[in-house]
Amino acid sequence: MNEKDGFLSPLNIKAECEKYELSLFECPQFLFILMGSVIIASIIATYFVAKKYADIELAALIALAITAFLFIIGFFITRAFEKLAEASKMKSEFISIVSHHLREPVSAIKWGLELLEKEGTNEEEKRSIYGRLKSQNQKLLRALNDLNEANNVQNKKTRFERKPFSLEKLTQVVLNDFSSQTEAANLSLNFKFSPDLPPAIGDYKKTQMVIEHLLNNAVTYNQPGGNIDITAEKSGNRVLWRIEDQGVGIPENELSKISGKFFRSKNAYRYQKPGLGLGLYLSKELIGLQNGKFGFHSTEGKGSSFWFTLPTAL
Amino acid sequence: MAEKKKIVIVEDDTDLQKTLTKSLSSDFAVFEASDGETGERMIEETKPDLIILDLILPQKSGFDVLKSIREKSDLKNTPVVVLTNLEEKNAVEKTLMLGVKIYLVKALYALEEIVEIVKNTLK
Repeated sequence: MNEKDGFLSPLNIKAECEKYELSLFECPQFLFILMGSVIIASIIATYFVAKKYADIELAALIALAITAFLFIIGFFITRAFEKLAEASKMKSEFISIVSHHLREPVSAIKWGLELLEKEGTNEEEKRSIYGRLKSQNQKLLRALNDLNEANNVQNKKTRFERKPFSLEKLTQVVLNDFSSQTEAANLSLNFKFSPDLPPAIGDYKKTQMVIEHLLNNAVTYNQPGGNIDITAEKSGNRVLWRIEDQGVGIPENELSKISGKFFRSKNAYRYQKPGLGLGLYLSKELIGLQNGKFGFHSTEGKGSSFWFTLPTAL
Repeated sequence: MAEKKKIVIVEDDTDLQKTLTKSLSSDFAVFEASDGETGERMIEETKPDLIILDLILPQKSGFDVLKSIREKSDLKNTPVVVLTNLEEKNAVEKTLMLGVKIYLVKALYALEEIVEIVKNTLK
């Protein structure tokens, strides 16, 4: 039997704390042992001091100092438990968001398949159901890819390719995938790429994920009949890609938090928009990991502009 | 021939909406809305015999739509089937307080079962 898994393993405090990714001073097990040691040491020390000096003021001072010290350790223990409770609450909220987000496409696929099996469904209806199944399957796959990517980013396990590719062609590919959504929302898309745009160097698939998220946000949060402007130009030894919408924008007090993991703006709730809250987090991280820069500007009620840069091949 | 009973479906996922409509349209006159505001307006205009309502909707949530229609004398007794993937005790209780008797979780029900429940409610 591996010693690490033995019955003595809980006594290996350092390993136990590392298991939960906690530093020693955030780890309840360590803090409890520290507090216990301080209590034992202080009782012994007080006994010897009191025996030698028999001075009531000195004993009171020692007791005061020990109490203060124990109070500080107690504070850290409480904080450590608060953090654990918060992590547990976040986990539960996360499961709730994820399960709701995944259940929608799964339900649509389930019902679509039922319709396909039903007698009397004609060829035209079948084609339309296949189209719906395809789009829901794509939605599901995107959500799973996002979760997987967020986990890889957090654990620093993301794999990147560094190859030259055309940002213009990539943007066209993503725009084609979104054409039904932009048409349904009656949005007008303006696409302007400078003719001398050099190829970007980075990971094609990860950059595709970023563009998909940024375009999805621009479509989701836009006003019906609004504009989306996409531009790309050379900026020094980088390519600068930008998307602007005329949507609901981001409240000023949320600007600093918007690219945090699982963060959803109050406007996302107000307008009841679906999402995992991973899009901007992943965009920022995936661009950063490709030696690029990511940024945005937004005014509530007027719209948002998101941009990123990537190194160029030239 | 008797006039078909009317159903308003308020569902923002257009794929789910189309699938539901396809399953119900042979027996009922189905009206569709993709957001809460349009749904509420449609309910007021058509005075349906039954409402199928999602809870997480753009513009106005299903809870708010429910609250508004329950305040109207001609709609306060209209049967509402809540059809959602939100499976939280709070949500169920909230809709129960607003007179909802049928709360269905999309992922747990087959399309056929939903059609059956709707038909039985309107019998």
